[in-house]
Amino acid sequence: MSITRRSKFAALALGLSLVGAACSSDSKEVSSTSKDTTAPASSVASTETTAGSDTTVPTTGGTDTTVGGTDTTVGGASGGTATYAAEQEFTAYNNATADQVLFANTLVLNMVQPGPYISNPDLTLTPYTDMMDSIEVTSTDPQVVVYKIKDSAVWSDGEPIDCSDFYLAWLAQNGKAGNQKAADGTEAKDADGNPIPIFNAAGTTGYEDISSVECADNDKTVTTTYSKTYVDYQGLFGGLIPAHVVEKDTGVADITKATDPADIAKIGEDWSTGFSGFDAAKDLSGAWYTIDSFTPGETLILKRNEKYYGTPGKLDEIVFRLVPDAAQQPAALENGDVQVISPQPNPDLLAQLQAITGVTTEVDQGVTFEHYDFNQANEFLADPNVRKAFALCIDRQEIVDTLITPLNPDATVLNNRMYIPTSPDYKDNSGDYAKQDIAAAKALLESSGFTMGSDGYYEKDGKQLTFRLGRRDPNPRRQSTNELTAAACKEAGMNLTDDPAEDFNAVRLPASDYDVALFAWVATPFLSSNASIYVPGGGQNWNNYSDDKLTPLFEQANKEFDAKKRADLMNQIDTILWDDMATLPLFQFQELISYSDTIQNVSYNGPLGVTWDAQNWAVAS
Amino acid sequence: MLQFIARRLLITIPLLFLASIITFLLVANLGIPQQLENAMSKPNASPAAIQSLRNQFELDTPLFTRYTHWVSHFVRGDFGQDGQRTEVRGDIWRAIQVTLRLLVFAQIMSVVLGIIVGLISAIRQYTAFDYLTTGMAFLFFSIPTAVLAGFLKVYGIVEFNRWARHPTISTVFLIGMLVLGALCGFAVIKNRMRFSDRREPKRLLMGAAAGIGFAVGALLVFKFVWDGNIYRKGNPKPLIATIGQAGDHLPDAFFSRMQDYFWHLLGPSMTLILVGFAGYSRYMRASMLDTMNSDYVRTARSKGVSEGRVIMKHAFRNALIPLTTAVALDFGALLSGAIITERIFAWKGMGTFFSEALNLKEPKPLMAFVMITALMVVLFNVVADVLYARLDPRIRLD
Repeated sequence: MSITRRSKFAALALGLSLVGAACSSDSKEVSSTSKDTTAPASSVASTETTAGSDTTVPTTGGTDTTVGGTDTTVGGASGGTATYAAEQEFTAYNNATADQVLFANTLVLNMVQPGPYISNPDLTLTPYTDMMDSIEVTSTDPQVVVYKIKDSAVWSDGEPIDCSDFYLAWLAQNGKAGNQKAADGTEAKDADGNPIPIFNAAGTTGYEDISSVECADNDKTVTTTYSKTYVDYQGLFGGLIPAHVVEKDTGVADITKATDPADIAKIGEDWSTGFSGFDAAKDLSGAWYTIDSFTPGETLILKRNEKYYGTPGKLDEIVFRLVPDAAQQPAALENGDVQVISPQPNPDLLAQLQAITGVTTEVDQGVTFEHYDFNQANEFLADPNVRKAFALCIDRQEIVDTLITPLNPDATVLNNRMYIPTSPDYKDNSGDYAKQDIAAAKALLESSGFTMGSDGYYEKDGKQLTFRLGRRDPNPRRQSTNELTAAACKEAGMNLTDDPAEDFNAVRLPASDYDVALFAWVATPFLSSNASIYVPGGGQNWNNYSDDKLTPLFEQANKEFDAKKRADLMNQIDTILWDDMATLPLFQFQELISYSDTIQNVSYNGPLGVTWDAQNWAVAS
Repeated sequence: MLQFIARRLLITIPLLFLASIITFLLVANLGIPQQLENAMSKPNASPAAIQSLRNQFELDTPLFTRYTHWVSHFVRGDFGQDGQRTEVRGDIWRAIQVTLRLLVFAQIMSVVLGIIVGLISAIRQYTAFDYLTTGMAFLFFSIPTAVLAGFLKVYGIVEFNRWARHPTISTVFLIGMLVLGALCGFAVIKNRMRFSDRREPKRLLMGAAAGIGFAVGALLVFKFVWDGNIYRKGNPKPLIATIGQAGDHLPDAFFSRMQDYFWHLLGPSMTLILVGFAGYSRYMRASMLDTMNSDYVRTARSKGVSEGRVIMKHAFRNALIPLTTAVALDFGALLSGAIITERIFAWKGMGTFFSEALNLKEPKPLMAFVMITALMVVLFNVVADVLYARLDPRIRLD
């Protein structure tokens, strides 16, 4: 008897609480929507005019840095909110340290940290005109680059964005500060006895070539002088962090004048470890949006930067909501939990997204490209004819058709190692290797003294022509790639076997422990970094590949300020790489963005991610 | 009793020590952390940065030294930092809270439902209710959690929210609700009357009427709620969330905050409740049937004790004993997180914490996770033993 009565009470209580919950949830949501509509619409109109001032910068040495043309006016009213599904969590405001550099941080900081240039989807760079008056290469030998920052450019706390911010970026990343010292003057050690760098920078490329950073004109002019020419200077000083915050933290009065090792050590400590997680007082914005709140495990919320000195962002608020599992993002998009997603595409996910109404899905060819590398320490692969025969027996078009076209019907074979097809400098340098040619492959092998064995495979000196195709495991796409390659090259008498290893990329690749390796590089706008992959003795030349022609060519290209001439040199290098058949590019990874039709102006950008121009995102009218 | 607890707790120390060694070895052999691999795969990667990461992960340090470092921090309650220099302690503490929020609600609901359903189906063995609940229990028990959660999400939550944007109640649905209400009211009264074996058509009709009234009430509540419906104000946010454990802007007021939690909790807890309830109801039914057929229940009946008293006092109490143990043990194990459910509903609880740490091959978070889970399992084992002794007077712990 008593059970039923009790359960009735329980049911009643549950019902009541449900009703209560539903009611007051309504009132809460209503009030928040009414707040959303009171967006400062006036601010848009007033700032549109300032963006129109086209200042053309005089250039020397052929660089065409024209400040201006970037602000294409985009539609959409001001106000509202969009939620982006973030696969990984924001971890740090300083995204230039070795331990905290993370793409998830880039996605947030795109809208927060200013820099002199913006990286476009086609891997070109345009000056950030809201902040920069001009960027000028005043001399090429020695290289001198002068940055003039607008007087109006300020951080979200009202302090000016100025030379000291540039100086801090250089100080931290020039690699000259060395390791921490203990109180007695000896080198400080961590618990394992390893030295601790003062500035734990993720890289020193470019900054290490700058010999001085000088400030003038009330700190709004930055003059950088290079000890060694660095043509990719446009990639430097992106993602500035506010120097005055570091000054306040460390008690150093002026970072640009800090010489005392104790001061440098303090700056180093704050720069390396002081920007972990989120701290509203330190993590200022110098761009469209400011980080308003960060709830670990849930959300990070960007709010429009009220102190922004250029065209303000359209949305009031951009929410980064953590959705670690890409497979859950389509349902979240359909449900309206999020409005923008950018998961790694696979055919199932794509089909799921295409079935949702009111959602736009776009697949683009990304900046990461897959390729085969030939280890020339292998006795067979040392012979260029064998490498060329490999390139001829493989059917790259078939691989693309089988593995990539289901995601993107426009996907193409990649025929250049320096540029991707979206780049204006892309050229098809593949020549004879554009298409599969089994007969030519066989002829090449026979000319190198290989004879067909009874098992259908070529052999030389009693050894069968066989290699392992190394790859990281698990990776179904790479497994299929290797299977297709092995099947195609069997016809040309090559015995290829799949060689999966979990630690392939991390251990075996750097140790040159492979015959043929299947892995990916990221194409960047900064081509000087490619030297380490291809020049003899380069840090990432794991192929034991050596062509002396490349060293002077890379040197020349990396001194060439004329973009056109430089592209010619890079294509020349690529042609040599084809002739030597050092590596064989296959295809680009496909990238996906998908967004609700309630949001407009969402576009894809390889290096920066989908949030690269989130200041233009707007609630669709 | 105290002595027993103290003894059991002391045993956990060598147990945890052993667990830590085994896990440490396993974690150390996972391979190179993903973060380091990513750093190495960039063109022109800086050797200094790579070395700095290697030092941070202590990859060049002998295993034994690494272990002593870890232990010396662990005994001070310091779980270390992950590769991103985030304190693991803060992260795992948040993950535990999130998992607890999910678990306490889901576990209580599934135990209560399981007990009620198990009890009724045992008393009314081989009735329609028994067959129905048995069938449902087997269904939910055998569906993989991922499939159940996926179905709930895509066909339950998303469709409900879609309907809720333009809510209409069709006539067929209305009539269906009324008939269902009448049937339920009828069934409840009929079921109750079997105790005393009286059959009064008037009361049955009243039951049906009450059921209809309840259904009408529920519909009115819906109408009342949807009239002030958020979707009519153009808010794109769905009512029931498919991801996350809380909304973007958590209100400070306690009651509003609880509602926000509730709408986020609904999806994952429904999944866990359906699975958990299925198991507990079977458990309860078996255990109840067992006690109902025992000698002391027959004795009680022959003494002339009323049927309700026999069921509640003699049979039900004793039937609860094995269930208590099962629940306590489950609770300890479930603290390791409902990995699949959490992942599907994007809750950053212990399950997601673990699967992420494993994907990224992060040694410190993995160790912290295993140690805390091991501790919880051991503790709840002690709790189960103590409860068992308390409930069953025949068992003495000393």
